[in-house]
Amino acid sequence: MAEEGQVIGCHTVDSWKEQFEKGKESKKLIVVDFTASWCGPCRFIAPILAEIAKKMPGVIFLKVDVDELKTVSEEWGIEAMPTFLFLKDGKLVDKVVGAKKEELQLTIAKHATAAAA
Amino acid sequence: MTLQASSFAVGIPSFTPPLRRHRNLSVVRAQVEPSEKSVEIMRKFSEQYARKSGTYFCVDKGVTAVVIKGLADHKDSLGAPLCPCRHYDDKAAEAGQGFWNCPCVPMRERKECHCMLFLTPDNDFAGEEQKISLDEIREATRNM
Repeated sequence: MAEEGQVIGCHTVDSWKEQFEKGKESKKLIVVDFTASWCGPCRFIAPILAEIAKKMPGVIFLKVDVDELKTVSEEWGIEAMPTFLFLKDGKLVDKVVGAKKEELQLTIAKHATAAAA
Repeated sequence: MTLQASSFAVGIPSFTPPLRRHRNLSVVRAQVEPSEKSVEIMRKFSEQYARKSGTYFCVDKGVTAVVIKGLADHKDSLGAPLCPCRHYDDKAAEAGQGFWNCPCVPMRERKECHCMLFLTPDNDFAGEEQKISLDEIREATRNM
């Protein structure tokens, strides 16, 4: 898959739905980065997430701009940015709020391992 | 509101200090620039409020620059510097209500700025500066 190892930007509700369904079917862990254009910490964490994504091809990484996909952000109750949602089988299994590198890494590792087991 | 506010304390204590990263931070889509006038107002406000609250800008001033521009953008579009690091169902209503207008209530009450604009000295990300020039803002956000 060409998208493996990358953070996939979802710019339309349709592309979000498509990626969401794909992830659901594949049973993989999905990590969604909810971001905003003028959010400083979001810019700070973005390259860190991209690095993690390179190392974890078994995890699907998505990125959603809250102003671009308002309905998606509201559906998932996003309040602060960045917020990272962890989804499995279409269900929320965990959440990290803020540019917290270590917590993000630990949470990804925790759920990625559980998925592989 | 207050409950939510306390749940995102900016912590990040275990983060390694980020080296000057802003040159790599170009993965942001194109967008409308806030007015120079509002950027200057928010730049001055940020310097003054950092001094007044005894807080410091992030070691990565790219973070500071982006947030200042975000505040300026909201000042232009909403008339108030609504926090650019939160999502609102209704931005205009939120700006009118005022809780998340900068400096927001969590900042005023507990020095909590999850946008990382104002950092207390014990925060691993706090730099040593309370000043940022217009040129620094321009340079840090050049590729946006």
